[in-house]
Amino acid sequence: MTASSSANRLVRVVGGGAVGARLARAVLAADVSVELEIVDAQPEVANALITGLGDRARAVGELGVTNPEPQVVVLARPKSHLEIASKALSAGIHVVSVCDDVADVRALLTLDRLARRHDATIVVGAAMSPGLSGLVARHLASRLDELDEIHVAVHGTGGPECAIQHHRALGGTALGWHDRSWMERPAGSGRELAWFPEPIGAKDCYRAELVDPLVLPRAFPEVRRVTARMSATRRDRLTARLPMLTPPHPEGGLGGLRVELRGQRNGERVALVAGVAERTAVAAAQVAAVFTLSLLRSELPVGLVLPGDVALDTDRLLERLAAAGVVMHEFVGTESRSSW
Amino acid sequence: MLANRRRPRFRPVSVSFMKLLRRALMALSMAGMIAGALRIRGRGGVAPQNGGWRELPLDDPS
Repeated sequence: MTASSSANRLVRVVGGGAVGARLARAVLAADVSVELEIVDAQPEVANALITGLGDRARAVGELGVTNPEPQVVVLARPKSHLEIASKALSAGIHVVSVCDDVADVRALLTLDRLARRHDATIVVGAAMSPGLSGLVARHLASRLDELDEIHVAVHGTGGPECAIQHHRALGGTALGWHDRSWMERPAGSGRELAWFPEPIGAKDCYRAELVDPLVLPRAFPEVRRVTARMSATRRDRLTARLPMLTPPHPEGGLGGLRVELRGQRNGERVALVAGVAERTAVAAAQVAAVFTLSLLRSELPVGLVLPGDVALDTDRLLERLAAAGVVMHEFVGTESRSSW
Repeated sequence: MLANRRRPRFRPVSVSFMKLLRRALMALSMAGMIAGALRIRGRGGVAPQNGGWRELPLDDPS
């Protein structure tokens, strides 16, 4: 069963930051029949954003759901997605959440029943990590006979709110999925050198309060271990439990994602590695845009959808991402040297 | 004669200076220990000796 189609092609983007702005441009560029509403807690941000988007975009001042009701609400603000998502789903409006906060995502995962009751879809974690990580993992998993482990590493941040979340994640408690049970470790521990696609190269990565170990075991029920690490400097780790000492950059620059899968193929144990080097905000926005457009085309099932779900046509989603300029790479020629 | 006694070559440093010096040394040693712990904990990876990154083929499941 897929989400019901409608003549209404109105998309509401909540959050006009680095991700929201790029997402708006990506959706408008991909489909000429789509109209956009931009909502931001700071109305001047939304107004500034629509000036560059043409006459198919307008700013609205309220965070709530209003008439005319959009077909899709994209939550691209940093946190507190639960209330708006619940309201939208109750009105039968599809939701795409770009959230990377563990508590918020945990709450959003409970909305499956509400979404099904109203014949709507909620996509949770449609960003780079989570999001692209799940899509890449599903693509790699199709090459394995048996999947055992998924290890994700991320480098870089999107906009300022993402940088704040990065800072917070290093000072929290890192989740891990270990032998099909949850494991908690202090964030900032477990240093590993991860090799990202060029030009990023090698980065020291540490456990952090990331969402991937929370969502990937749901999308891959067979997996026994899931870990997620993020790159950080020593200064990042020393100051993780303090307020941010310097204001975050308006744009985080080049980011990276590395996904490593381990499992069995033809009776042998193999490790497959793939990743991407792209501006974090761009990658996150393109992933959210691809899911938004899939919802407008009624290509996603109703209820809770997680990137990497076996029910999704992952290769088609990845092809659309590649067409939008987010090019994935795989590491070939040697086995993985990671000790995860 | 007391008046002809030569003055000592080194004057004893003040108590406050010694306290400052001890604190500075303590701070330096603690910074060293923290940096050492951060440096030593965790395992370094091994640089790939061969192979490289190539574009992920989406239509080739092999």
